[in-house]
Amino acid sequence: MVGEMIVRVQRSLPRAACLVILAVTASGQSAGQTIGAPSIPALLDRYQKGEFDAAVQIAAAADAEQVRAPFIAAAEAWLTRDAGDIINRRLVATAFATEVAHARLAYDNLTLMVLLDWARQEWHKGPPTPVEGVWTRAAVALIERGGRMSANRINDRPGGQFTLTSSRKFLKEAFARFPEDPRLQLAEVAWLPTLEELLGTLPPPRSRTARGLERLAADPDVGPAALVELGYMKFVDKDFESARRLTARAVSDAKEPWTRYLAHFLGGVIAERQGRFQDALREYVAALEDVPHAQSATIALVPVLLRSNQAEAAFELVNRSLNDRPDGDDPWRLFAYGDYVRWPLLIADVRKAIH
Amino acid sequence: MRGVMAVAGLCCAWSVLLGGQTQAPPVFRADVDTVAVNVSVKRGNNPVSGLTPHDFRLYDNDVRQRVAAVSQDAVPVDISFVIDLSPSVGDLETLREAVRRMTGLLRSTDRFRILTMGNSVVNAVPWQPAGPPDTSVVQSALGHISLVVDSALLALLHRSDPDRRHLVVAFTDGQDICSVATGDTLRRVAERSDAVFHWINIDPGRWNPLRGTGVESICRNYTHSPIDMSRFFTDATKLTGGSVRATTSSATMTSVFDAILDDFRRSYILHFVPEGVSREGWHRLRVELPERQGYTVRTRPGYWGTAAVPAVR
Repeated sequence: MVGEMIVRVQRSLPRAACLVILAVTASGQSAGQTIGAPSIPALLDRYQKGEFDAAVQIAAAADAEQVRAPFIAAAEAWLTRDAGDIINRRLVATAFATEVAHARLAYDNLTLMVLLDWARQEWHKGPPTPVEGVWTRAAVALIERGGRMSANRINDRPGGQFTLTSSRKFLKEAFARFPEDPRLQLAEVAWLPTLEELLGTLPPPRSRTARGLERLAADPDVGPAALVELGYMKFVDKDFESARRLTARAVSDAKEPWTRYLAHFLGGVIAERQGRFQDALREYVAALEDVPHAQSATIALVPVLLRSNQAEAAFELVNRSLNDRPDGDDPWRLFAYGDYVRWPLLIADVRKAIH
Repeated sequence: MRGVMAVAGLCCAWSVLLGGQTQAPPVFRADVDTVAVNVSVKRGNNPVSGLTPHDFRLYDNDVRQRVAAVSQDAVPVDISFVIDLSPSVGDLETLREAVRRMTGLLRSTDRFRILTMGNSVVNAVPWQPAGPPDTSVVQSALGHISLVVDSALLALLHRSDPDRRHLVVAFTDGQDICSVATGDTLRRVAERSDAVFHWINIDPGRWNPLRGTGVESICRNYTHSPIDMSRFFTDATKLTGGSVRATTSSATMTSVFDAILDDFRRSYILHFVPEGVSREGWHRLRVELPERQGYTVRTRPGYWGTAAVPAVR
């Protein structure tokens, strides 16, 4: 029903009318204000010139209706303005749309799906290219976050169901265009079954998910992350010994600190379940060495410290965590959102590819 | 012997009432073994003022102790507001307005902070002196989950300066999704916290928890379903000498908070040096007013005394 509503909105706004609305320039608009109709072409020019954050901030502050159909109409007009390097212009427009959607993620999942769906269709006008692959990785990470956030409120927000359906479609098409990309393969193996489950469709058997993860575990890029996923699966299945081996392997293979953090964190949880409290303490402390003051490992450490009469250390750790990481996000808090933990890197790659 | 309410290893100044003397406030100097316990005394719904050390009878592990001093009212307060921003609790603007009004009730010597919860626990307003907060930072955080246990735990694990006391007030419906900490850990932290913890249960029973899918598949936490943490929250409040209040909406939060703050300010801090009991372990506390009939005494049931131990690393 929400999907139908969006189609109606898009059809009810003729593009010429949108362009008239968008004649307002972006000059003088301050960040953080809600504004009616920023000049999307002007902002796309600024974005292409490298004024990424400023352009995104202005566009993201616009009224909800302005960042959907009118945004798309303006971006399409901008794309046809110069046919010279269509791939680069397409990257600029879709990257900008993706970043605007990201900036509104906390409160506006509808825009996320509308803009990313448009961006996907824009890329599908041509054959897959490497830069599309760079964009797709970032977009899939964002979908992983937006989709699961919707899942968390699927029962009380109709938009949740729509976002999940759109997420599934987006992911399937992304996998179809880049079937050899290990990052996308990991998302397909780890996230799509959950999506199917949430949508009430029949997810693939867990054994197939496990086999997919085992296959990816040997990949030099995504192997450690696959091991963490697999370790988590075994943990949920209460196969603690297998889970322990897998997370230990992830620790030794991982190059990225957030993957090592996850492996140590899960290693600590597993150790606690096995009654190995000193090992749990060591794992949580190691996790905090990879991501200092992270909230989840700090909280996990508290009962371990209390058990060993080190309450004052718990007070100190919590104090430092709240002061040094006030937003509290850490790799475990983001674990539910797949590759989203790498969003800063992924969007930096997209920006680098723009010329 | 730094117990949860002990003032250990500190030489601190307190404004106190000593033996009913009300002239220039004397200075109470706590030594390493002094314990300070918050005690609320009421007759009906009204806090009772004017009591002296001689009015109280205090037992530590059933051994009667000498109450050295009582302090009341003048001690500045550190307040941790814990605010659940999940859709079940109320709309954001109403919550912001409530925060503005509640912080308006503080005295100039008080301090406060605001912890909110979304995908993580957010230190939205770090400790600041009393005054109007920038409530624009109180935002619905990404995630739409409710880390109510983690938030309360982080709030309770704070040591106020020795010349201040700590009040934690949590505004939530007590429905937890995805906390790392368990209810049992919350209890154990409450036993060790210096704070008095009050839970304002906003619109109890209205919230309709997620069904069918299971949190494990949604947030990858290692709990299998959304958990009603009410009993753990209730336990935690009792363990600190606090209480549970209910309100029907976020719009009435201010008046409930006002009553809690008034009760807290007018409660007594009893200072004593434990004698005839071992330093370590759990100390059961009992406070009585033998000469006062019809009074209600509310305090924490005990505290942890610990010997010095090596740090974690």
